[in-house]
Formats: sequence, structure tokens, C-alpha cells
Amino acid sequence: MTGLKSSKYNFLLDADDGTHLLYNAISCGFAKLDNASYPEVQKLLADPNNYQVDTPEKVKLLESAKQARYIMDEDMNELEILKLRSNVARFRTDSLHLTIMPTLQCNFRCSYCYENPNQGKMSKEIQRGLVLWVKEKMKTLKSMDISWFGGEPLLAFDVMKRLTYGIKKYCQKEKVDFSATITTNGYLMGEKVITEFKNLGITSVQVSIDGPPDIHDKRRILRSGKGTYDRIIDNLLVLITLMKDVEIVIRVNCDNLSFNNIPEMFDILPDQIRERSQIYFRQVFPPPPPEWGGKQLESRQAAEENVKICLPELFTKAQKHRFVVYLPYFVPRVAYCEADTYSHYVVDPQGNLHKCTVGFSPEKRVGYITPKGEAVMNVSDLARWLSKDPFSMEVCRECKILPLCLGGCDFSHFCARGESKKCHSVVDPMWLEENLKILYRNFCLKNGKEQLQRNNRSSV
Amino acid sequence: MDFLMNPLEVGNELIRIEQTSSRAQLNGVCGICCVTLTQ
Repeated sequence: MTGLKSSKYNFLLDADDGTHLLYNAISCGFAKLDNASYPEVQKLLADPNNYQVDTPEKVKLLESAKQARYIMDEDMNELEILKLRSNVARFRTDSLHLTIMPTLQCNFRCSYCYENPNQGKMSKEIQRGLVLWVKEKMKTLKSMDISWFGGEPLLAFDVMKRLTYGIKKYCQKEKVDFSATITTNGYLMGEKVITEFKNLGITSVQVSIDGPPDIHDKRRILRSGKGTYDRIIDNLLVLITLMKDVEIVIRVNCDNLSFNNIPEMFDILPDQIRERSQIYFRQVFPPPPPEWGGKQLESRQAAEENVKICLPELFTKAQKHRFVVYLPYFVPRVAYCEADTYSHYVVDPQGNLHKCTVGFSPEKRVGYITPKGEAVMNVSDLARWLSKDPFSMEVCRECKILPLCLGGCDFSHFCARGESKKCHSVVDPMWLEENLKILYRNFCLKNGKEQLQRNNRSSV
Repeated sequence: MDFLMNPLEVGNELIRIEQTSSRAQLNGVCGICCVTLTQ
């Protein structure tokens, strides 16, 4: 008879309020343990084969632990399961996800922007070619997703509409699920535009607010140099009013100079935004390396130290102000990001196909769309982007966070060339534990907010 | 043991992966990128 073993990917930790938590990075089962079951779970995980199952409660505990893969049969190979899962999803061809940049031009001149706004709007010829290309693929698809990106995509709203209506028509004909998301600076997101969002199938909107007005208005400025904070807030309030179900994500880009001032925004943002949105923080990253046209890079070490120390503090402070924070890491993952998957492309305004929204330039494209709707691929470069295999790398095979990281950033791998043995992850087990505590507080906050809403409804 | 997040169903996990991985929800909206670009 096969014995039992504990998963390599369990994280047992205590939240700040003393609650015991158990997370498994493969199953993503995240459990709260009461004081009675905690010592039992410790015993079970430490030595599952000698755990005495002599009460109904312990039988149930054992079942739950197996269900969440905290423990499993001894002959089960977690790495092989993870690899299968990842390969099934990475190389599937029945879904298509396009990140479309309808223009690279922008009405903002953010101080940290890495993009080159030279390319204008996508021409009608390329739009037609793109729709025809998608139409051809449609026969094998189950789902089609568009992420609008730029530049500022709303500067090319006509392109967004034309492409969406062209593609949606074929999705309806072939019964393919369609959905879209948008990353916008929010400045042009007025009532007319928002009303149209519904027709464009937009289910999620991300807008950046980089701190309180005095910080934001120095960084996210119009071409004229004028600040943008007030108008973005006004537009977000319209969005909240008109689209009750849309997901709203506030992204806060930060750096050494702004970390300390960012918490001031938590008191200033209107309650409606606090109630309806999720917030997250990202350090402004150094520009791409010189061969991609970037400038000299900051040292990796300095960047990582900031991420580890400052970002968890911001997440914690935001939660203390009742913001639900955006943590996309802890769901079952199959890849580090979309660039890892065969059926994801970034489409620039000239119809060039890329894998990454950061590492892109016309010279480095993996293919392009012709006005006739053909995709001419550079298979060699595409293969290079998709060649990352964390399961063959010792550093990844040994790593406890592999199920969430899956080998890290493709672009870093691509740039590293021969240095594939190096770890390209931004996370480590300590960082992960800090973020699991944040995730737990999110659940407490959501429960609190739902309770509050129920109370408000019943008191009306 | 009170699950805040339910685990993937053992035995049906590939089906679940197929159902969900096609969506941009793999990473939500532009969620994970943009911090590592230092070499």
C-alpha cells in the first residue's frame, strides 16, 4: 500500500491577528485553521504516515488535507503534474488572447514612460487584415480575449470600436466567447466612452493613480504639463455609476521618491472608489536594456530590495484604510504571464506581432499581419520566446514557489540569452508569506464590506 | 479547516485549467509584469 507524503509546496503561517493559515501553491487551497485543528495539522504535515486517525474530526481533517493536496500519495510527482498543467494551457490553440495597441501615441507624458510614441493609429488596412486573420482562426476557437493597451487606447477609440465589432461578429457566428479589458490613463474616459464600453464587451478597467494629487500631477501629466488627477477621479466616479459590474483596478506606480507620500491618497480617494475598486502597487521599473533601446539600468539588487520592503508596507497601509488590494498571484497558475502562452500576441499599430508589452520593437517582432489577413511568422524568434522551461532548470525544480512563478519573466530570459540557469523571479518564499497575510486580510475586508452592505440594505 | 479559497479539484484539475486558462484572468489585468527588467 502506498504511503502518504506532505506537499513540497505547503505554506503554514500565522496572520498578524494570530490566525493560523495553510496554503498550497499547486492546488491554491487556502485554509484558516482554528486553535483546535492547528496542532493536528502540524502533526499531520510533519508525519502523515504515522498520524492517528481515531476520531470523526480527524477523518474529516485528513480528507480535507488530501482534497487540497496538503498531503498526497507518496508516489505522486507534483512537478510532473505541474508541468502537464502548464503545458496543456501554454500550448493550447482553442483560445486567442490579443493585447492590441490601437495607437502608441499618448495624451500623457508620464515621467517614467518607457514607450516610444512615434507610431500613430492603426491603419484601416491593418485593421481589416487583423479581423480577417482572427476570422480564419475563429473556427478552432472557444474563446477570444482582447486587452486594450497603448499608448493611450482611447485616443484611437474609433479603431477599438471597428476592431471589436468586426471580431465580435465572427465570434457570434462561430459561438466563441468574447471578452475585453482595457488599460487606460482614464483621462478620456467620459460618459459617452463609458456607455460604449458595454458594447465593446469590456469587463475590467485598469487606471493608474500614482499617489495624492501633488505626487500624481508631477508624474502623470498631459503633454502640456498640466495635471490629470481631478479629471481621472471624476471619470472613475462616472464609470462606477454607469457600469455596476465592471471590475476596476487602480494601479499605483511608485519609486523611492514617492513611497512615503503614497499613503496620503488613501484618505483622499472618494469612498465610492474605495468600495468598488481593487488597488495595487508596482515599483516603476528600469527601462529595457540597451539592445532594446533603453538607457542604463538600475541595479537589480536595489530594485528587488525596494520591492520587498516598500510594497508590502503599502499593501498593508491600503488595507488599513479598507481598500481591497489586487493580488493576482494566488490562483492556480499555468504561466508567469501571457507571453508564456502560444496563443497570446501583442499587436502594435503597424500590425507587428510581439510577445511582450515591454520588450517590443518592430525589429524584434515575432511576426506581422498583412492587409490580406495573413500572419507571417518569425518562427525562430517565437520559439526563442517560448523556449523557457523551468522544469528543466535546477534552480526552479528546487524552488518552493515554482507553482506561482513558473520560471519568471520571459523577457528577462530572452535578454539573458545564455544565462538560463539564473533565477528570474521577483518573489521568494518570504515575500510569498507576507503576501499570503495580505491575501488573508483581503478576505477579512471583503467579508466586512459585504456585511456592511447587507446591514445598509436591511436598514433602508 | 475552513477554506477561504477552495483548492482545484483533484482529478478534475485539467478540465478546470482548460476552462480558465484561456482568459486574461491568468494574470488579471496587467498584474504581475513590470518589476523585473534588470539584468
